[in-house]
Amino acid sequence: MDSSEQLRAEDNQSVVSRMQKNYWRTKQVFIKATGKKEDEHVVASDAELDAKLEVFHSIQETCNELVKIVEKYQLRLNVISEEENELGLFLKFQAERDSTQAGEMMDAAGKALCSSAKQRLALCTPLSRLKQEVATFSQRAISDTLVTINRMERARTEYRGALLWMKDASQELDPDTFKQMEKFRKVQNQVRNSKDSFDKLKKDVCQKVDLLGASRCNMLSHSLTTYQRTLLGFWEKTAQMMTQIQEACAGFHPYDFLALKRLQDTPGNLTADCTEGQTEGSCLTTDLNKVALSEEEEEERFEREPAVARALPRDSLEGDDFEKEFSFLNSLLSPTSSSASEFTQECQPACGSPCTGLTSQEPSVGPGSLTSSSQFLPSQLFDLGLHADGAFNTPNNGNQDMSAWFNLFADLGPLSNPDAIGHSDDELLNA
Amino acid sequence: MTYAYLFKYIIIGDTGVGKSCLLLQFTDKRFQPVHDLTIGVEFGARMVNIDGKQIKLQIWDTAGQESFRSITRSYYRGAAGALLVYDITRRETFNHLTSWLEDARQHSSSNMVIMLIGNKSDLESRRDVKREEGEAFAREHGLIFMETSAKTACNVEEAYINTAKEIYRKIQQGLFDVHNEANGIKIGPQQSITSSVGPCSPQQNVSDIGPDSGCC
Repeated sequence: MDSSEQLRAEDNQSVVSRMQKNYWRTKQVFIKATGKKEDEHVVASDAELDAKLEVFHSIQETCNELVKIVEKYQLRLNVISEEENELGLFLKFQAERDSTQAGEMMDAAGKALCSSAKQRLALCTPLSRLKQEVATFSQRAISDTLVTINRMERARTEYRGALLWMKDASQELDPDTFKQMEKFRKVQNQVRNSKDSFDKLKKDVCQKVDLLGASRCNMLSHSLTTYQRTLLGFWEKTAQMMTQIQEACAGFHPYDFLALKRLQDTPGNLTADCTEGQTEGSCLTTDLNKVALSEEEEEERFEREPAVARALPRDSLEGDDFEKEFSFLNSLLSPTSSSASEFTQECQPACGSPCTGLTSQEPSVGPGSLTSSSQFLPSQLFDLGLHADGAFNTPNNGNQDMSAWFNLFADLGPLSNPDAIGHSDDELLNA
Repeated sequence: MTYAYLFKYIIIGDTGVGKSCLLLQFTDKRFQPVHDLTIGVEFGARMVNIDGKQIKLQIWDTAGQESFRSITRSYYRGAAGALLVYDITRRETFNHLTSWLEDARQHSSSNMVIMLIGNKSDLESRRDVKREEGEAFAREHGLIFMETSAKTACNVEEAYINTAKEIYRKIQQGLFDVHNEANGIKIGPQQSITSSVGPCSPQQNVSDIGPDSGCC
């Protein structure tokens, strides 16, 4: 019966102890949860541990941020590479349609840009590895440390709860009172056990955080070395390509605008240039360029400055009329094949279509005199007049045209030799 | 066992200065180089003879770790004497004396006798605090001063007994109200018997426990 009572007493005591332990632990949890002021000395004794926890949280946060930043960086690398490649392709496409030095330059630059775009994508490989390693580090090393930290925090709560209990038991402590000492010894054991547990976990946490910091340094050092090497290689190659292009294009002549030269030229100068010994081909090429420039300039000016455009055709018309008058006079004075050839070349810059017609008819005619005769046919003269009139719509242009018409017939006075005219007709009939 | 008075002592100071070793050497006359950290408080007691009176010393050996600081403040109440201990080989323990002294003044009777103890005097080659510095600190703050070695037992008994003598002297001077337990002094059963019997009590012949000497 005594044994039974003793067992019952022990059970009660055990239950009471557990209740008291849970009570003080809950009180500590409550203090922590409500943010109440903790015992300053208890907090101070954990200063080193709390400093380690701050280091851990910093590592945790910065690793998460790093993964996000690397991801953004990769996306932007892809975008810039794509844009770079498109620009390169565009330049190459335009280069195929341009046979000038500018085309060569565009082709080289286009190829360099496409190559650069491809090499830039190579940066994604070490970046992917970096991101993967940091992510793995977070999932394993940081998570494992966090597990230990959580266990430590539970032990800390237990220990601080036990300290609260001991503080309460110390209020009316008397070593000569057995009951009080019994209670105190119970609390003391609880404190000792929870302190041992907490101290061990505290040590584990401090060691793990130190190890975590060191291993992160090692990981980043290794990954970033690879990335750095790849990046420097890419920069070096790109710089080298651009330097080569610059050197290759060093001799290229900058683009000149020759439009103004057209306005300064006069028919006299033009004739002088041709007669100064230049080859016919060279002269023709120059004339064609001038025509092209003149047309471009007229278009540009007509679009941008209508007032200026209005004045230009008049100048051009005057030039044309003068040339035609001069050429006809030349033909009359010296009707030779050489003269006809010069007339054709001179006429082309002014009005291409009629000159082409004359050129095509020349072989079929044969004799020089016959050619001269055909030029004086009324129908041809009438065509020239219509063409000139069609080119320019203004009344002033019409007036000038009439004047030219009268001038042409003025040369054929009634006093001229009718026999010459008849002779030409006979030759035509013979042909 | 009967005694005339019970004096409550409290031993305070940084962790690791040798508080528990001082207690063990005094109560059991032995030295234990490695032992567990004190949790909260440990207790010891011993009889000493002061001027023919039997005095029971009830000694509270407190935990020096910072996390127990608030708990140990409860133990100052009712202490007649305090042993304020530092380690002569660790200057920071000497530097922290001001803080411990402040706690003692704040949580105990103003008449509490405080003995400043510079422990580990056997480690002369590693001394970090001069004896003169300890003496100056004690003089400046009105404390008794001794250097001890719990290991060699040098001055250990003297420290406890000199503190008790000072307390007894204050009782004689009327500075301690022996009927107020808050002062840390309780009248023992012998005192009552003595009063009832008179000055011719035969227990006056109890043998004196003399301190060992020759350590210095």
